[in-house]
This record gives sequence, structure tokens and C-alpha cells, in this order.
Amino acid sequence: MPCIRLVNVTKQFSKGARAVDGLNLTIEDGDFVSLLGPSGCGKTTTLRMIAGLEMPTEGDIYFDDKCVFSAEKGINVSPDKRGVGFLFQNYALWPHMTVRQNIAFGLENMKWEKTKIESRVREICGIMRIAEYVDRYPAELSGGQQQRVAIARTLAPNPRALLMDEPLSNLDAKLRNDMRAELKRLHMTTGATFVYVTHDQSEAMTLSSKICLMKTGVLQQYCPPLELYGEPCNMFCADFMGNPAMNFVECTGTPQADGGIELKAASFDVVFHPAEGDLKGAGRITAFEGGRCVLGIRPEMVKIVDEGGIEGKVISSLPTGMDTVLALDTRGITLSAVAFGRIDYTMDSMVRFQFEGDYAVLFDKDSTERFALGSLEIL
Amino acid sequence: MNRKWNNVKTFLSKPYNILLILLLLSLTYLVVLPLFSIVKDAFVVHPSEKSRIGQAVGSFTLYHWIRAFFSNYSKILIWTPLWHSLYTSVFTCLVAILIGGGFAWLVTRTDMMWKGTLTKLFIFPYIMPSWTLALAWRNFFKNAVVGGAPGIFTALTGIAIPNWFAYGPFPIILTTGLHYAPFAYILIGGVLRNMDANLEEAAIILNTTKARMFTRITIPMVMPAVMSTIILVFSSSMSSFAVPQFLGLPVRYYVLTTEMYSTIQGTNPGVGYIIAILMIVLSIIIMLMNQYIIGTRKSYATVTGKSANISLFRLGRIRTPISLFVGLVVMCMSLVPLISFVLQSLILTDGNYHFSNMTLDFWIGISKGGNDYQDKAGILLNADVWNTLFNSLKLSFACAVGAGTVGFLAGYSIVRRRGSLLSRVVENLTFIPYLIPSMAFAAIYLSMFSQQRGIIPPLYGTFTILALIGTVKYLPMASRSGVNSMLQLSPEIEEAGIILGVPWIKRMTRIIVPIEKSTIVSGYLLPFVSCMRELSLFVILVTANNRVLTTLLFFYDEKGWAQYGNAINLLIIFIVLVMNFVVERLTGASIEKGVGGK
Amino acid sequence: MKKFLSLICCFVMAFSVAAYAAPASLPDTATFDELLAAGKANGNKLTAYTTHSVLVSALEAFANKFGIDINNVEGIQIGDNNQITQVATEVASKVPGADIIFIQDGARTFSELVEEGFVYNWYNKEILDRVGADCSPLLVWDYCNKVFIYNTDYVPEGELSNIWYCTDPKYAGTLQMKDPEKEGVNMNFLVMLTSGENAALLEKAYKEYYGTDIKLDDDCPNAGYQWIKMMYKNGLVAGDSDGNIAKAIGNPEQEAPTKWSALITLNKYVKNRKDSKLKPGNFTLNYVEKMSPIAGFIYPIYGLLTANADNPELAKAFLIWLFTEDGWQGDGKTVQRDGSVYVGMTGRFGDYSGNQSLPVAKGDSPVTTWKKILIQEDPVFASANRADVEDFIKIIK
Repeated sequence: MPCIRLVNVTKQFSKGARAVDGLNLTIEDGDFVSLLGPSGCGKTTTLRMIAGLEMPTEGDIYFDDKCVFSAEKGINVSPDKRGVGFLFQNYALWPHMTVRQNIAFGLENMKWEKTKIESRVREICGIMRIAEYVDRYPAELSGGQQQRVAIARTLAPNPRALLMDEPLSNLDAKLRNDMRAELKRLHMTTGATFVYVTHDQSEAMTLSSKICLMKTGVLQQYCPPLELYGEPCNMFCADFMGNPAMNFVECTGTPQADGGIELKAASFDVVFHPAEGDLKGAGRITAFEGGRCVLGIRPEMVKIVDEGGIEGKVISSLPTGMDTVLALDTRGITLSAVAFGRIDYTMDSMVRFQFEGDYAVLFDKDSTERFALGSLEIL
Repeated sequence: MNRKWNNVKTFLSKPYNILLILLLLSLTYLVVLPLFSIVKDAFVVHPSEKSRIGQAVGSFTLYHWIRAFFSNYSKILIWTPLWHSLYTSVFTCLVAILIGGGFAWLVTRTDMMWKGTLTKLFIFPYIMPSWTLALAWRNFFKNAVVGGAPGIFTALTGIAIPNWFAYGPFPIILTTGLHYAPFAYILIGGVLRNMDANLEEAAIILNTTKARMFTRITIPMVMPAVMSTIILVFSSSMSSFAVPQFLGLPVRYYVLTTEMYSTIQGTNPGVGYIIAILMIVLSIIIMLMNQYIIGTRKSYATVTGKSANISLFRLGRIRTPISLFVGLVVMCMSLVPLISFVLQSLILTDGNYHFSNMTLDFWIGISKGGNDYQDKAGILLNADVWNTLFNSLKLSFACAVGAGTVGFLAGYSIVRRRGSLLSRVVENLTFIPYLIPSMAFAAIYLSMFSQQRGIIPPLYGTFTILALIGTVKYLPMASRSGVNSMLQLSPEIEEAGIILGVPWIKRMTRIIVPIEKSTIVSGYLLPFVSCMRELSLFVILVTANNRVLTTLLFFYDEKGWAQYGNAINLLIIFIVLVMNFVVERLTGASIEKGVGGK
Repeated sequence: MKKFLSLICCFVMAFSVAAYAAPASLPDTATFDELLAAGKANGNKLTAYTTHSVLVSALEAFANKFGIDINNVEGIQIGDNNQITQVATEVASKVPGADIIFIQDGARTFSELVEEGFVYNWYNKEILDRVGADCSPLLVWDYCNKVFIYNTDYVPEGELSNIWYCTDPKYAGTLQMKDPEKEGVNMNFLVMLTSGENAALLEKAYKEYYGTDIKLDDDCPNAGYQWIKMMYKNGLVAGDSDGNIAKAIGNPEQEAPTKWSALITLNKYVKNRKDSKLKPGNFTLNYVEKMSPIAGFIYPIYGLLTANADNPELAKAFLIWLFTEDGWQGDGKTVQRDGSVYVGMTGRFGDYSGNQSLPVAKGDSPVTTWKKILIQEDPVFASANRADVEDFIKIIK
């Protein structure tokens, strides 16, 4: 099982735009890594470069210690020699072949014995629960079935790594949920390295062991999902993860003697207490002097209380049964909040809220980089 | 009772229902009735057959059928031409697929040079009239067999051309095949270009060799396009008239169309009508085969994916030679014919291509008052030619407006009532003219409309009959594009107008027409250009008072006035190219796209 | 449908009976002056369809000469096949069309137009005086002849002196002729060869040429058929136009020298022999006058009136005028539409008026001389036997 390493990989298309810019990424053996980002961020290109379908303009790619691509050394191992499986967004099933032929095609190419191919096809079809469809043509299958056939075809030759390009995006919501569970289970049973491209942050959150979040070809943050959610390194990461999205409140900050920072927002003032463990922003916090900054507050940190805190007007209330998403207006600043449980709020009613938890984030307004994590205290 | 009345009222309140009823009635009259009429014609005595049959004109006879199928003549009249038609058509398909498909592959999948220019030129032969290449072939390779001096090739090299090379099946297959090669390119190239690259990438990742990928993935994927190319090329080539007329007749190589022409013009038109029926039956068989092939389990409807960056096959060392070779072939298909027409329209004495033998007389010479063709005014100063040109343009315009408008309305009403019996019937009716070979269709109209028909006066020799047959014949083209465009337009768009109380006319003119502008224009353009270069549909209907450019060309050619013929041919090509260019510039619609988006 | 059909039948039959009875009648008594006056009074447009280009000019000259609005006459050149279809259809469907037609291919004209009553033969006393016997069954306006020509560089004079030459394997593939299946008069020539009288002549000539008695094949009823068959089997080159054939044969710089010969109109022969625009001596052609038993054929262009003529009077006047000297070769001052002076047949080889007193081109022989050595077209015989010969050729070619 390989560890995939990308070193300074850059891809420039002829039109001049850089799809991927100086990417450094190490995917450990057995990881389930999601390449996440908005469309056009270079995630699919990255995946295709790993597979060998696309040639990087610069940089090296290693599988374990073996270099499979190097711009400098002129190495380019062809896709079929890299031992990866690739699952396409539209499945790319060959429409003129039956399910069986589709799955067996790759095995035939590897000169497997006939009996071995047959037993492998039977086995993989059993795993993917498509045994009853083996003699159908792709057009005669539903989307979910096609998806499973595509996975079966990809897994049949036992690839060392499975690369997936938004494989669930063509499925309806319910099927997508089922397939997510199935994929996670598959990752466990095969133990293979999975690299997974998606633009859906919740998919990345739920599936991956690590997320690689990209923006316009540049890596933003590469870490386990919950860390990305809780400790975003910049406003883009913070904004991209989570639904409803993080609240951003512009304010000016003044350092306090006790290490806290007093933040003045348009309609309320708070004190930000940096968390001790957050070393990242610590150095800069000390240098912080009356600068303009942005406070990031996750909706679940906004807690409705009976009294105290800040007053806000309910301008929308969207109950799902499990929780209710609120939009609260406090004289010019609109915050989203999540109230758990089966509650609904009357529109335009006034409620009070305060901030809870240690994961408020303070960003530099100019660089959008994170200063620090911390808790909030309403003044 | 009330409820029934209410149903009728609701039915009639929908404009598309009224349209469908009107279409049903008129198409029954213009398309179905003629089919019966032609069957009738195969059973009666015509004036020119009176003496051979010995019965009164118009009386019932089985003579034609017996002669066609159960006499010494059946081999000459039916079987040999049928065999020739099938033979040339099969090989024409092969030529078209190999050249068109090969070119498509080179353009879409390799790093061949000059792709832009080459593709533009490659389309040329398809825009030009179908006989262009045949005439050019004759200009180059004619030998003394038909009389007249040998062609340009012999004049330049001194090498005499053998008959099999100059005339007969070989050049017919080659020139027709080259004419339809662009068509194969458009269809197959479209598939290759839009084909999901993932399908090939998936194979690459699964260790597929290049050869195996080509045979197992690429070829099967383009098969549907190849099949539809074959069907269309085959049926077009079966019904092609001009090419076998120009290249087959000198060596008495008859195909069904030329045999039909000679029998209808000759002394036994009854057999001609039988050939027409035979041709209709054949094209119905072809269509059924097509349906059968398309209807099999292997549905090829594929999701087209994002395939922006197909990696091109590197030709490497052979890149330049291949590019040069393709360039040469394309030149021979597109520009060289034009040069031959220019040359041929300039020379005084056939077979002498010295500069001293050239004159502009055939273009701009003034009339010399004599009676031979060298004495006539050049075509640009000849009032006859100008009248004919004007007539051609008028006719093309009429057919385009007729077919385009009716086709669009048909498309609209068919789609709106999709699934109903009425809509299905009308859709099939609009398609029937496509199945009837042009010349057979003309033969039917000739026999049907030379008499008073109810309130319709005899139309023989009038402009009306030409416009009528053109409109009906090109209706399948226009209605197909109408149906396709309307299918892409959701009915909600019109319903939004209905809810706001916008009347139907306004809905059409202000909502639907503007949205569908470009497809509508191509619905008009295709009939216009087709009509401009149509010969077989008009050749037996046109009278001397109502000539069009193509039949004038044919007339000059029959008289052996090569210079005028070539000049007229250039004129036709020029008009067609200009039309295509102008419309493409104005609307973005073009013949290539019209064909590609069928 | 049936009812309609039978109606048409009745109509056509009634018509043809009526028309067929007509030709036996005596010449019309109306004179040129009366007809011209009546035609002018009538005022309708005079339309003529013609296979011969000179008539288009003649009609324009006629209008100019007699003060008729030039836009009130129209001559349209149409080949015989198309003309037959067009006239038959136009008259049957009562569509306005020609008033008068000038057409060759007597066989088809006779059976399809005359017998059907779509056109009729007309002449008056003036014409009868000038034309004589050629007034019926169909009035001959003009005779054209087709003779054997050959390339003088390759065919020695006198070698081509018997019509069986064309069937001799020695000369295989050297004979050209405009395709009889494309041009009716050529077919009619072949039909005429099968008449008893001509077949007998051919039989005699066969013995002269081959030295033995002719042995007929099973499918050949007489020597005429035998000749046709042997000629086709000997590699007849069926060309597309007489002019092109003349050029091909006369070309002195032939890549593969061939003993070319051909049966084409004398007119095209002369035209191509000394076309002033061409290099002098460019063509090495000559034609055969002495040939056993015949040196070619002569066919008429007939002038006939249509049953639905709008202005039959003017058409008749025009027809009469054509047989005058002015009508034949112009008066030296009357102009055509484009302003050039009408010269008619002046100096034209191979065209001879039905009025035999009118001059022929300088150097050409009078039609009486030609008639002696050429086969003549008999429309009645040709129409009765045309289908047989056509079918015969279809099989043997």
C-alpha cells in the first residue's frame, strides 16, 4: 500500500491559468483523503495528475519512494502502470458492453486467466450487490446500480489506491446518503488508500480521514475534518465548512491587560479570550494593536437564553424537527443560530442570546488569516 | 352531448390542434394521395405506349409489370440498374466512411497540422451540388468515348485514360463517396468530439493497449454515428441522379434513377413508374433496418461528460507527411474542382489549355447574332441566364419559406401534442417525403398535377408546382429541426405566456420564435440551399418556360455546351457558398451544424 | 378515381378521333394576308417551341417585319423529348403553351402528338404550291441530313464506301454516333433500316462487302436488324453531341491514332471543319458521298399547330412565311430582338427547306440529290415500329 506524495506540483493549461499551483501533499497509506473546494479550484486536476491522466507542468509525484512523475527528470509513468483505480463522476461505463464485460475488461487486459476473471467478477459483484444485473447493459440500470457497477469495475483489479472524482454527485439525495455509508464501509474492508474529490463539504466531513481544502489551485488547509471545522486557518476555510455557514462579524479590537481582546462590533461589544493551546496566532496576538479584524462565530455557538446576553429580532426561523436555524438581527448585524430540539420561533419576536464554547475564531481582516481561537464574553 | 361539445370546443381552442388537423389534411393530399397515384400510373397506358401496347391511352394494363419483371427486358430494365444502384451505393458508403471517418479521427484525436483550414475546406464538397465532383472528374479524365476532346489530365500528361477510370462505377463511387465524406466527418467527428473522454481514460487506467482501445472502445462508440451515416449516405446515393447521369451514361452504366429518367422521358413511362415504386419500397426497407438497428438493446445514449482536455495522439515523425497528404486530398476535393470549372469555362477548343486558347466570351461575350453556342452571349450578359437565376432564387426562397414555416409549425404542434395519435400520424406524414426518392416524387407530381384536381387547376409547367414539390420534399428536414428545437424548449415557457393571457400569435412571435431563432433560421437555410442545388427533383417537372439554374446546366450539358455548363455550375456554387456564408455570419446557423445537429 | 380515369379516356379518345379525321381534308383556303390580319386582330401572343435554334431568330424577324409587337412573340428552344412531354401535357391539361411547334422525331411526334390530337397538320394552298408532296402526312419545314464523316489522316479516301464497314471487326470501336436512345431521329434511322425495302438493300450491300450471303441471327428478322446488332456489337461509341463527336474525330493530334468515323449532321461537320475561331486546318475531316447502299439519313423538322393555340391565325401566317425566301434566309434588313440582321439559313450546310425551290448553302447539294443517297424518315412506319427496334437494341447492346 502506497503513500502518495506530491511535491511542488503545478499544472498550467495552455490558456495560461494555473489550475494547480505549487501543491505539496502527502497522502498516507490507508487514508481516505478528500480533495475539497469550490468548482475550478483544481481538485479534479490534482486527482487526474495522481492518476496520470494529466501531466503536471512542474513538480514531482511519488508513490511510496518511487517517482511516478517528475518534470525535471522527465519521468512519467503511464496511468496503467501506477496501479490506481479511478472512479469517474459519470461512471464512464462503456455503453456497448454488459456489466460483466465492463468489469472483466480490465482483468482481460492484465491477462488474467479466464476462470480467475470469472470468479473475481462474481466476487466483486457479490460485494457490490449487482450480481443479478451482470448481463444487462448500463443503459438498463438505475443511477445507483450504475454507480455500483463503476465501483466494481474499478475495484476488480485490486488497485492500490482508489481515486474518485465526485462519484456521488449524479445520485439523488437519499441514494447519496446510502452510498456514502457504503463507501466508508468499503474503505474499511479494502484498506486501500482512497482519494476522493468533492465540492460538498458535508460529504468530505462525513467520509474522510483527512480533507485537503483548495482554492484557485492553492492548498488552503490539509487536516482531519473536525480540525478543519473547528480550527480553520483562514476565513475561506471557515466559510467553506459548515452549514449553516459561520457568522462573520467585523469589529475593531483592543488588547486588554489580561491577554483578552476587547472587540467592538456595530451593535455589541465582546471580550475575546484566546485559547491557551492555540499557538498559531499567539505570536501575532501580542502584536495586535487596534487592528481591524473579523470575528467568526459558528451558529451553534449562538445560544438562545431566557435573559441576559444580547437582544435580537427573529427574522427567520427554519425548523427541521431536529433543530431550528434562526436568523437574528441585532441592529445591523445578522447572525445565524441553531437551536436544538423541536422548537419554533415567531417571526419578528425578540429573543436574547449569548455566545458559548471555545471555538470562536478571530481573523485578520486584511490577510483573512486566523489570529486565534478562543471564547467570548459579552460586555 | 354537452360534454362532447365541450371536448370538441376545448380541442379546437388549442391552436396546435388546429395546426395538426390542417397538416393532416394537406399532407394526406400532398404526400399520401400521390403514392396511390403512382401505383395507378403503373397500371395504365400512357400516350407514348399506345402503339406498343395497342390499347387506348388511360386504359388498364399489366403490360408494364410483365415487361418489368417477366420478360426478356426485366434484366435490362430492372435488375441490372438495381444491382448497379446497390453496388455503387454500398461502396459509396465505404468511401464516405473511410475518408470522412479517417479525417474525423485525424482532426479530433491527433495533432495533425492546419486543422482549422482543412476542416473548413473539407466541408466544401458537401455544400456544393452533388454533381460538382462528377463534373470535375469529367473535366479532368474524360476520354474520347463520349466524343469531344480528352480532359485536362490527358492534355497535360499525354496519358490516355481507360474507360473504367473515366466513366462507370469507379468514378461514380469515388465522387459520390467524396461528396458524402464531409457528412460522415460531421457525424463521426461530432461523436468523437463529444464522446466522453472518461470512457477512454477508464480503459487506459485498466491497462488497455492502444490497439485494443481503438477496436473495443473507440470504434464501438462511433458505431451508431457510422450506422446513421451509412443509412443516410446509402439512401442518398441510391436516389442520386446527376452523378450517374454524367459519369454512367457514356458507358451505358445505368442505375435506377437514370433508368427511370430515360424510361419516363422515353417511350415506356409505365416502367419508369414501377422503378419509382421499387425505389420507394427500397428506401422504406432501409428505414426499417435503421429503426431495427437503433432499437436494439445496446442503447448508446451516453452521458457526455467534461472532456475538455482529451490528450491528442502524437503523430510524431509522420506528422508532416500525413498533414501534407490530407491537405492534398482536401485540395482535390474542394479547390481543384473549382479550378477545373474555371478553366473549362474559358477555353475555346476542347482539350487545349494553352493561354492562347482562352477567352472570356462564355462569361461576358456579347451575342454575335448567330445560332450556335459560340455565338450566344456570355452567361453574365445573357438575359435567359439572368431570368433563370432569378427564377432559381425565387424558387429557393419560396421553398425555404414554405418548408421552413410549415416545418417549424409542424415541429411545434407535434411536440405540444406528443404522445397523441394525431401527433404521431402527422410526424410520420412529414417524414414520408424523405423516403420518396426525388425523381420518383417528381414523377408522381408530374402525373398527378398535370390535370385539374378539384379546385386545383392543372399546375404543369407552372412555378407553383416547383414550389409545392420543393416545400413538401424539404419538409422532413425542416420539421425534424423544428421538432428537435421544440423538444428542448420546455412547455412552461409558453405556459407562462398563456397564464398572462398572451394570445397565441403573440406567444409564437414574441416568445417562441425569438428563443428558437437560430434553429428556425437553419430550418429555412437548409431547404434554401438544397433547393438551389437540386436537380433530380426538378428535372422532369421543369418546362422550358420555367427553367432553374440546375436544369439549365443540365440542358447545356445535354447539348454538349461544356463552357456554358461549367460557367453555370460555378455560378450555382458561388451562390450556395455565399448564402451559406452570409447566413452563418448573421445567425450562426450553417449547413454543417444543421446536419450535425440532426 | 375510376370514374375520373374513364372520363379522361373518353375525352382523349373523342379528341383523337376528331383530329385524326382532319388530315385527309383539302388545303385550307385562307391566304397569308388574311391570316396575318386575323392574327393581328386576334392579338394573343404567338409562342413557338422548336428544336432548331434558327426558328427563334426567325420568329423575331417575322414580328419585326410585319409590325407585330416583338414582346408578343416568343420562340423557345426545347429538345424533342421534352417538347413531346410538354406539349402533350399542356394541351391535355389546357395549360397555355405553344401555338406552333417545330419538332423532329417524326415517330414519337406522330403517335404521341398527332394521333392523340394534341397537334395537327395544317397547310394552305400557298404552302402546297411551294412544298408539294412534303405537306403530308406531316408538313416538312426543314430537312437535315446526317452523313458519314471520317478523319482524313487515318482513313484513306474510298475505304469507307459500304455501310457494312461499320460492322467489320477490323474497324471495331471506331464508329461514333449520337446515342440513339437520347436522340429520336437517330433511333428512327435505325427503325427505317428495318423496313422491308431498306433491309433488301442492306442484304445486297452485305454481299458486296463481305462477299457472302447474309446469315441472319435468330433474333434478327431481317438484314436491317442484323446490321444494327452487328454495329452495336462492333463497339459503337454513343456520344453526347454531334459537335463534340466532330471535334473528337477530326482532332489531328490524337494520342492514339484511330480510324475514327461517325454518322453526324452535315452541318456540324462543316461547322467544325472550318470554324473561323479555331486554328486553320485544326480538323481533318471529310464526308462520304458514295456509299452502298446509303450514305446516311435525312430527317425532317416538322411544323405543326397545337390544338389549344391562342393565336392559330398568326401561327399559320408565320408558317407560310417560313417557306418564302425571306423566311428562309432573310431579306438582308429585318432585325432580330438583339438588333442583328436576320440571316436565317444563309450559308448553313445541311439544312434544306421543305420548299425545294429555295437555295441551299454554297457548295452544298440540293435536297433532291441528298434524298437519292440517304434514307428518309417515314413517320408512319417509324412510329409503328419504333418500340420494336428500341426493345431490340435494349437487348442486344
